[in-house]
Amino acid sequence: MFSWFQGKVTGSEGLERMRAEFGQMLDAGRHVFDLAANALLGGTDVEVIRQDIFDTDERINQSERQIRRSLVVHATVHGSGSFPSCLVLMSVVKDAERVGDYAKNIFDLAELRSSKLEDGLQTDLVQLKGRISQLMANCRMAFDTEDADESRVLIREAEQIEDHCDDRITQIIRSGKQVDSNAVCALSYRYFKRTASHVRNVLTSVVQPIDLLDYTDSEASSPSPEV
Amino acid sequence: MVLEKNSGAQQGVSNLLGRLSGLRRILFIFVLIYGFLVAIDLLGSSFKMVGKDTAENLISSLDNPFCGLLAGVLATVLVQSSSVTTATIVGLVGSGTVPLHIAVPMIMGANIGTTITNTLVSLAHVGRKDEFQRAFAGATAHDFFNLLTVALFFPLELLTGVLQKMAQAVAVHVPRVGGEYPNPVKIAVKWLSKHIQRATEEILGWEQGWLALALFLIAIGLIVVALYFIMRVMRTLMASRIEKLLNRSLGKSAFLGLIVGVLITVSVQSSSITTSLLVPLFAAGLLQLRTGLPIMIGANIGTTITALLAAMVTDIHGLEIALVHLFFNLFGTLVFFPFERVRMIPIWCAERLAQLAVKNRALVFVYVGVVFLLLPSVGLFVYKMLQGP
Repeated sequence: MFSWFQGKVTGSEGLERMRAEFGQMLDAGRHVFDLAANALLGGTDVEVIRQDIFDTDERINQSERQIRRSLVVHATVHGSGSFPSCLVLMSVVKDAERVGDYAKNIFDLAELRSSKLEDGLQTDLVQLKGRISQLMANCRMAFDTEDADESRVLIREAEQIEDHCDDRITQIIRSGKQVDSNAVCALSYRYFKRTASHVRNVLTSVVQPIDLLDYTDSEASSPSPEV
Repeated sequence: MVLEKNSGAQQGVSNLLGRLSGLRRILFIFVLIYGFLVAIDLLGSSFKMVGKDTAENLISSLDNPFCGLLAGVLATVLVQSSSVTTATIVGLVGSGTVPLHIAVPMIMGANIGTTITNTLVSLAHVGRKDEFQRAFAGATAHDFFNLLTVALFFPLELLTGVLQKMAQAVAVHVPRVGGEYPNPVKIAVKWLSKHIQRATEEILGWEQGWLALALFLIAIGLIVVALYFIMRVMRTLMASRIEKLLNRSLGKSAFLGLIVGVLITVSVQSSSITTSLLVPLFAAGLLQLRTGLPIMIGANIGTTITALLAAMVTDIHGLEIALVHLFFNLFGTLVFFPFERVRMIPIWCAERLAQLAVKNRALVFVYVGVVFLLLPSVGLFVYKMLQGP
């Protein structure tokens, strides 16, 4: 009955609940990304997974709204001492939501695609998909354990994925080929890049102060918004 | 008494509680409650010390229900805590200093006065139009609810004395108070109270009248300090529970909101804390007036716990006025809560006022000044004039 007399007085319970919900958002993001990427690259029937994609994305959106509401309540009850943690969650929750949105974009590509992707690019995209999916799983763990060293390693991995995507997009555009599949490939790389970028943003919350959220160590000296 | 968030003070309380074990926390709270009860006893003793005639002269200006009502509003506005006002009233009635019929309107006035805190909190949002409109409407919905309840029950009480009669009928059936068995809490409280009186007398060496004034000031100071720390400590200890309760009540049924309002207020011993916590939620649009007002109504009921606590160390009249406080808020709830159309009246008033306030923000200050300061002051003056010398 008097258990509350024994508890912590830091007010961390509410934040822990929100972090747990955020973790579920990351899991759902990975799930929906895998489904969409498999439809695009593995030939999964889009009709079979359509409902799952949209339901999962809706769940992610609901979680985002729930966490935002809870953050306002938490800040109201606990006061200014809780603001840094609340602001961090407010920022990263948007990134997790965007991962769901990009998964839907990838799914749209899978639906629109009419021709087979070029073999080299197809293989490359499959490998990339695997790396991003693994990055998401590792990001979830690093965020949960607040492992700064692991987060730095993962941020470098995300940057490499982004650079690789940029190189491929440049390569496709400069090839000058007027092939439908090239547009699909370019957009796929673009969406993969943005997915990795949002995962990276989440990881920066483990290693960076609030004003440098979304920026990596190298960008921190002269931050410029990512396009 | 500043009840709004003070992160420095809150942090200090958090640090202190963090160093205490579970059992020590319980003991700490008991010490604070004990100090509060001693203050209530000391308050009554100070008035007894000046003699019955002097005490009657002192409160003769309040021997008019309108004056009592307005005094309740003013006193609560000044200390920004209805808990302090009602506990003081219980102490005064319990010691036989203030008759019940004068104290009843004062209790009603305290209910109006306490709404100023969340109205002031809503001013923090004045810089953003939509946000301010929602915050101000949320805060003043509580004002209108309490004003309407007083508008209904004040004349009814004058005509029939229904609250007084009910409280008197119930009080005689409550065990210990006025009964044949000794009240251990009362004995423990009296013991320290007597020691404080003797020590004050020895240290100051003043004559009876001045000594009574000194004891009165010590008692009021102790009530304010004890309640301040009880609220701070309970708020710190209950913060996570409050957060959970608020999260669960957002957008849910009115009845759940009512229960949540009672629970939060009982746990922190202050309706101002509960209602002030809601203002940012109104401002952010997370809480609608339909679901927020029931929480505030629940806070009205929950806050009566302080007066009931104070009545533990007074005679039966102290309990009677504490019960009047409870019945007044329960009946107000019974009139306005069950029927949605009736519940919408204070909401409608608050929304209209907020619309006007957004167009002309000076109206906010006019409203606060008129309702909480000018009207009570003018009222007191007019009735004093009408009463004559």
